[in-house]
Amino acid sequence: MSKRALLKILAFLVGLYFVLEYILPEKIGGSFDHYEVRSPAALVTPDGIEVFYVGAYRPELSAIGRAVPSYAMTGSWVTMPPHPLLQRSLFVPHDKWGMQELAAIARADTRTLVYIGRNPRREPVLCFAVSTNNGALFDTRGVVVCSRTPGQPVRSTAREPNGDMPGTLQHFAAHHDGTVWHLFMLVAARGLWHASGTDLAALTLSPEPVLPLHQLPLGITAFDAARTSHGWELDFIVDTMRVTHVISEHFAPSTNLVAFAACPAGTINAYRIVPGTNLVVASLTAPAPLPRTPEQSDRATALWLAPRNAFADGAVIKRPGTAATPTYLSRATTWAGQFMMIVGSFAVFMAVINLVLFHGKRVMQRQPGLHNSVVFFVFLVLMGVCTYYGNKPASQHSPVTIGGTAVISPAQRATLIARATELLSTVSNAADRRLAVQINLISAPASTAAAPAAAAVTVSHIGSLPPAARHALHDGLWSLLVEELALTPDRVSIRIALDLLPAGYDFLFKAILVPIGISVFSLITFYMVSAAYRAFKIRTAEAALLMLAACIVMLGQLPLGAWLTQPLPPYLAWLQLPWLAQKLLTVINSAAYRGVLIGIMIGGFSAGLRIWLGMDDSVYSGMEKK
Amino acid sequence: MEHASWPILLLFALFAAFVLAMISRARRGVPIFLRRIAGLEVIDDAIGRATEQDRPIMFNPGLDDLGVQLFCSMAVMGYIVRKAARLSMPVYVPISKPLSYAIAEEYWKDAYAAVHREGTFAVEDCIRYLSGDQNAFGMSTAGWIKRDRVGANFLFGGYGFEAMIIAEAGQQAGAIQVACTHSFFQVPFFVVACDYTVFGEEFYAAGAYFSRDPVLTGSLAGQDLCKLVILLIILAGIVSVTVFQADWLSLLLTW
Repeated sequence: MSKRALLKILAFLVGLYFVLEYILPEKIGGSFDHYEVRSPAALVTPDGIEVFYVGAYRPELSAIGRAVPSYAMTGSWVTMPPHPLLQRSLFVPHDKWGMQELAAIARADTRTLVYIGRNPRREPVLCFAVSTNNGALFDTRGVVVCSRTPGQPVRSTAREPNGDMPGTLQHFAAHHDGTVWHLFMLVAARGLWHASGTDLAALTLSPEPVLPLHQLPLGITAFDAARTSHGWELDFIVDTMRVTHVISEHFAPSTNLVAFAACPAGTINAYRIVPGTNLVVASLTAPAPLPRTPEQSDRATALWLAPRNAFADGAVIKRPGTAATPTYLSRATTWAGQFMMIVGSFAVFMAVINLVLFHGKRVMQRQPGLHNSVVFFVFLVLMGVCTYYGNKPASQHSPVTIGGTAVISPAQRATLIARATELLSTVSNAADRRLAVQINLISAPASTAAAPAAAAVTVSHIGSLPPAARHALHDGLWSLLVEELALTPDRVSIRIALDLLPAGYDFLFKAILVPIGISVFSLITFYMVSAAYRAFKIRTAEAALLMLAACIVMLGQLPLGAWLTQPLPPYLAWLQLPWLAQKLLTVINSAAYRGVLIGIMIGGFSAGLRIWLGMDDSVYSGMEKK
Repeated sequence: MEHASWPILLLFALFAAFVLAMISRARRGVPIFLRRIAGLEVIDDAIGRATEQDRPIMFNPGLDDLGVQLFCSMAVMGYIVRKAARLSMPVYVPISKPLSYAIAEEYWKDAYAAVHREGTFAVEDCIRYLSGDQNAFGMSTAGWIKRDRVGANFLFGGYGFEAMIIAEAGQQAGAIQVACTHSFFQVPFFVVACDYTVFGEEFYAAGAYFSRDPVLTGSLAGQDLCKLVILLIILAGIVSVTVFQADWLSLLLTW
């Protein structure tokens, strides 16, 4: 078999693997929620309680599922095979990066899920999905839009999908009283806001936060709201405690504040009151013995159902689904990854050889640009040595040496270690946590362990110490050794030295490489100005169009643009520069961009298909001549 | 891994069928029309101009690592190097990825060997791994262009912000520059700094354009049919949303 044929077969097998992985998900992954279950929301139905939740297949991939359809009728949970009800959308940008928090509302056969999605910029967007057939299919999706002015709904835009949101959304609670939607939104650094209206896509926001930041408890991890005869009861989860605010219908200042011990079983990540009951569902991160998948490492989550006022009496009702079962495909992933790592390592070696050959030749032949090659070799060696030693365990450095031949007993040695650790931690620079991380005591051989040991302390230290910290360290160690341990001063010497190699690595990286990188990046500004000058010379109709579009977009982004066109009458509002700039970017530019993107994707698909099927001979160029 | 829904899978199968059918048609000798792409037409002229000025040629595959895009740009590099080799001109290739280095070296040597000019230039002088870091790669390439006064600069591949640095360096050196990229967001920089810019799907068409290989030209015709299908889907979506006020298409595609 020729080399070309062999490579074609290999390429085909690799391509086949990817195709199979693409079309046969169940063969390589477990259930859709096998990474974690989180953000539950429950509903009371004639059959019992339905629990919706966000399940994650991988940390970044999530979907909404419903795995616990009923309870109470039979006295036990009936667990449905987990399957996603609502997957993140690939076509609309609101929840392209998954779901984060969830609330469920039932009205007759209608189920509404309100959730926080993540847009392509990974920003939270409050979304909703509606099912008109008991939650079998959520066929209507959209974003919640809030307006600050009553009666004047705003439009959802790519930049402001939720309209006039006062800031970044952290948590929310949703409630429907049969006619009106009530949404409470916890906004970062602003407080708790209330929005209401009959349509989720046209809500009116309260003019001010109903609970300003200073009235909210610190460190809220979850919250929900319930309507009672007293007004709104807002449950805030702070660590594992619940703090309840009761505020009136008209959002008068807080009238009651109650703190409950919440859950001893773990940390609460999400919390929802089951409407019309005295129950709550919560998502817990708990330590073992919850089942874990290999991907779960430090995460083990579960859903917990409990009475609202006796949280500890609850029980786990849902755990992560079945883990992925290793198949030939998933094993092949590991093999392919290892193979690529080996090939990649060889390639890096070849690349470095190429650099050394080129610069070596230049140095040997004393060609022009010799100094550049010398600098290359100097930094190659310097960076190599510093990286090697800089990444060694801290215990192998000896930057701060308290030397001498002081003789101390084992008890003194233990005291020395404890006190020195404490002392060093007080002078550590918080910005460089690798400072003062470990103390090693070099003791006498084991055979003489019973006898007093000759001791020296080495302290790891990376980075430079400020002069004040150096003095504090020196004085503290001196006092410790001489005054507290009563060592003879002439037998104690303290030397505080900088650990050159790790510090050198830091210096090369932070003081040379990063600033040079930033400088190079800054150069682009000047290049852009010079290129723009050439491009914007109006020589042709296309150049004139380019210039006009650039002016509109640039002015539209500036307050100046808005100021210039503000006096225009309402019927000429379409000439407002910010509006024009927005339309140019989001309509014309986006349309062109998507057209080009479709072409690129199809071109890539076609090229991939040719290579996969071994039809593209240009890939195997000249192979037979070898 | 993002898994396919059944409608998307069927769509892919349909696209594959279109591409394979058109390749088969082209292999049977049915002529395929390729429209003229100015940026690719000018490549021969640029090589000739650099030769007349006795200035070296540079081919820059950008930041692409091992993948379809790299092979597409390597196919064009093979063509350019063969042309330059016939004129005994050196072609410099700055590389930013170690794996690309190994592949570019093979293509470069093969191209010189194809016109019996192997050994004319030392590989280590012409193909150089510069750096995986964008800053370092951009500045090294810019320095190389200016020091050696490159006469023709071809930028074929994916780029980040260093596109501007490299293209401006070529412009300042007076090189004729042709950029061909699949990195959409770098297109404006190339448009203002280069003499010719080719982007989007034309990047994948470049290999077919030069070789006129029926497999490549046939697949281009297949791509056009795929785009026609997508156009019909878009129109159907517009009609369903505008006329019937229902987003059936999204439902169908996510089913």
